[in-house]
Amino acid sequence: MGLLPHKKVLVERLKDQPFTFLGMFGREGDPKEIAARMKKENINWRNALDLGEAEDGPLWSTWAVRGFPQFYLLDEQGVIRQRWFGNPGEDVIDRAVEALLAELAAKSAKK
Amino acid sequence: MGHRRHPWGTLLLLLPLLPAAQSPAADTSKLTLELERLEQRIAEERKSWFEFKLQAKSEAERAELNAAFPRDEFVAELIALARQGKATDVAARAWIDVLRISGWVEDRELHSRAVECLLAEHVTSPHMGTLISMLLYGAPAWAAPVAADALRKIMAANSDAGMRQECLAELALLLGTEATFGEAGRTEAEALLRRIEAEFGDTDFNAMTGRQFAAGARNESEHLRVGQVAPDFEVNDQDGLRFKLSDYRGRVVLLDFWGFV
Repeated sequence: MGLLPHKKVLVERLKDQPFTFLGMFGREGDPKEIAARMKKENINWRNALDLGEAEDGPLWSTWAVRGFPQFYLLDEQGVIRQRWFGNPGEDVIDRAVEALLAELAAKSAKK
Repeated sequence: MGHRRHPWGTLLLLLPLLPAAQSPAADTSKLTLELERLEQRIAEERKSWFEFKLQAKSEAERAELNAAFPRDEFVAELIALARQGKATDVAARAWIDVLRISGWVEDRELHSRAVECLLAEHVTSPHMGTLISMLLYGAPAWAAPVAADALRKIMAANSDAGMRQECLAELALLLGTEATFGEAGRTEAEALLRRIEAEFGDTDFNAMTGRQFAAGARNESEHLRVGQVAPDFEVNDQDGLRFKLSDYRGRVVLLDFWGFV
């Protein structure tokens, strides 16, 4: 999976920031096996296991996922600020996250 | 990447593998070969350059790197090939490559030039499928109006019924979910969805019926558009711990929908 190294860098780089990278794992499979494979791949961030019976999980339908990768970027209020179908480019994701963190920092400073 | 509700979702991975459609009008095999060699050179150049770009620390550094990519030279070569193969498949492909480069180096002027040219000269070409996916998948938010315009033009001019149907569906989704189109966009999206229900209501509409597609698109427009509070959920994580999305209020959250390939 081409994006995995970038995800690791992003999670590590922003680990002290008010930022959460949340995997939405939505394919059928045995939860134990999936967890083991995640461990093997050093995936140390939280993943919602949204396991479908023969397809993708119920959450994936709620979120209208039509393929992956797909990303939703939420602000501190849970508001959807950006959505991407397909990989927009690792740098684009980084900058959008950083811009939102800067916005949050500015808001907190005002209080 | 496998089974998906919308087949064109699978285009994300498949498109680069699709064989180029050949123009029967002219023998373009020599030009095609030249184009492929050039594409290879561009891909190689991009590889190492992009590594650097990922490590850029500031906007200034990114701008510097964007300027350092030999875009002018590549674009000039691509346009020269497009001229030689005017109105053929080679020209469409070359302009698609220009469009791709414009995205890498974030050159909006070059981006609109490539899109304009593709729509003006190749709107009936099968390559419009590639254009659509480039304008929609992984595209920056500012490209949404460009994408909407392209979808309208392709829908009006392309003779491929499947492509027109895809345009109709994508336009409805785009207008209904991107903040930039506002209330007017959502109203138009609803009109398009009604049209889908009327024209494709019971027919097989990309692995579902038109009616099902419209229902899904309405859900997306209502709950998943930019500016809406994300729907909450409660699930188990990989360690078997239960959690909610709303546990993370106060933090910036990136939801990454993924799976092992």
